[in-house]
Amino acid sequence: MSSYKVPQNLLYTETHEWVEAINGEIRVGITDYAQSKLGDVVYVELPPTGKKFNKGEKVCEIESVKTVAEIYAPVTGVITEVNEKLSDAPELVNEDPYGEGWIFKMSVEDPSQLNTLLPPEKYVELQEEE
Amino acid sequence: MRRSPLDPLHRELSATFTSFSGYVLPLYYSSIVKEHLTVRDRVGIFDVSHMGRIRVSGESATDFLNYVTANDVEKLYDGKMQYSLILNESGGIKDDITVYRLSSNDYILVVNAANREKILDWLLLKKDPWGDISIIDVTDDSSMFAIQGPYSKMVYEEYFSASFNLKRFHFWNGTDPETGQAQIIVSRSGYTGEDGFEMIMFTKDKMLMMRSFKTLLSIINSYEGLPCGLGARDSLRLEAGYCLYGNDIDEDTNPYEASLGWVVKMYKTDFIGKKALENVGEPKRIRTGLVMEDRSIPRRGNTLHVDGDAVGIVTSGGYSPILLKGIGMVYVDTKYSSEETEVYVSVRGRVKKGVIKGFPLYDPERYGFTRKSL
Repeated sequence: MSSYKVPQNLLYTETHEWVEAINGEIRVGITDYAQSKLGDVVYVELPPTGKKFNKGEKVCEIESVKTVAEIYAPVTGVITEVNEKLSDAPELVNEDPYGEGWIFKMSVEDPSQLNTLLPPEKYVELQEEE
Repeated sequence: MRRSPLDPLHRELSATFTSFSGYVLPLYYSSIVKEHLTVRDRVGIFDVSHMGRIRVSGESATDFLNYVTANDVEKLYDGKMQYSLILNESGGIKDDITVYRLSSNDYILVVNAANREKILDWLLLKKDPWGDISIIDVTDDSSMFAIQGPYSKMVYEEYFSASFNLKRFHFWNGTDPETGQAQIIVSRSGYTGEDGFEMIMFTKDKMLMMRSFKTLLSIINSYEGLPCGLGARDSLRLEAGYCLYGNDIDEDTNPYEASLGWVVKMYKTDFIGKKALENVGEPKRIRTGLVMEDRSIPRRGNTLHVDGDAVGIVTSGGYSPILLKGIGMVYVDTKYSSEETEVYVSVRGRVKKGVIKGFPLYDPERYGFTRKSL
């Protein structure tokens, strides 16, 4: 059924963020399904680097022509880098959600929290339920 | 939920759907922004079959319509249409409509989908003193398409094999050239600010409707145009400054505060709402435009502030793909309604800076039916 891309090498949240674990950090963006539901993204509000967020806390907002979506921290950690390109080219979130459209990187305070994230097959199921 | 008679075609075109005024309709086919820009730069086609279509005929149809609408129906002639308002007894807006004169005793009213039953009931309620008047809802026996954008002219000329010499707000009625069967009304009008035409097709046969839409679409595609959904229809009308009933105007809005005073012809002997409007006085608030300076999209219900005082409210908000900024339609205290007034908009608890602007919000020399060149 689902025609949305769900890469096998990533983890997912119930709030439609994707998470890539790399060298003790994670890189976060929104899924293909999420960008499609949002429609044309026009503003991405990037979080300040160095700021700590608890798992599930709102990190930033993405605004599309139609609506506003909040992005939540998939785990507890500190923002280490943000994708500055999105300030001038927010459409990257639509065009390449898993690549050029990544939003921020953060440290992982407690690696066991990664186990609470959804594997690809569970995320596909979640999409189909919605 | 109602569906357009062209619904199977929208599915074939993989539209993303939304619900609007009791209908399930295409929100977009490709992307709202892309469709919006295509209409401003090229041409797009919209299925607007959900709009209500009511036929009013009878000996005293002109007098009756002159009484139930605020504009001057006597100014119309065969093949001429006008924008008008149906007011309640308190001068509030029941609907904003277009009135097409087929002949002095035969008219079509195009009303908002959400108001279709309400207006039909209202007309039936008011018709008795006017003798033999027939009021028929013909919405379900017809469809309506809008072809909008600077290349509409080429599309028209190809589809009808005739030059596009209709004047704005004029129409003709005849036979659809594609099917050779359905009766059509073709007007030079629209809801995007661009040049273009709207076509009402009278038939119960959905296959005929789809055939004509498809042929128009293939011509549009040859001009790098696109099928467009309600998303682009909304952002286009917002840039142009056209009201969306239920958002920007309703039964509690009077035409003067809605900046629609030009529609109301107080010199007419009598019409519903006239007495109330004689006593409304100068408006305290007025409908106008807002362009954000900060990177933010104002949304319906956001409040406007000057020096800490609440001075207005956003009734429609969105994003302008032409200005690359958040824009809005607002009601603002007349003291703060002049162009370039700086206002602060409360958007989800944050204060964002914007300026008051008159409509259209785009440069009318570069875009819209007033543009200087293609």
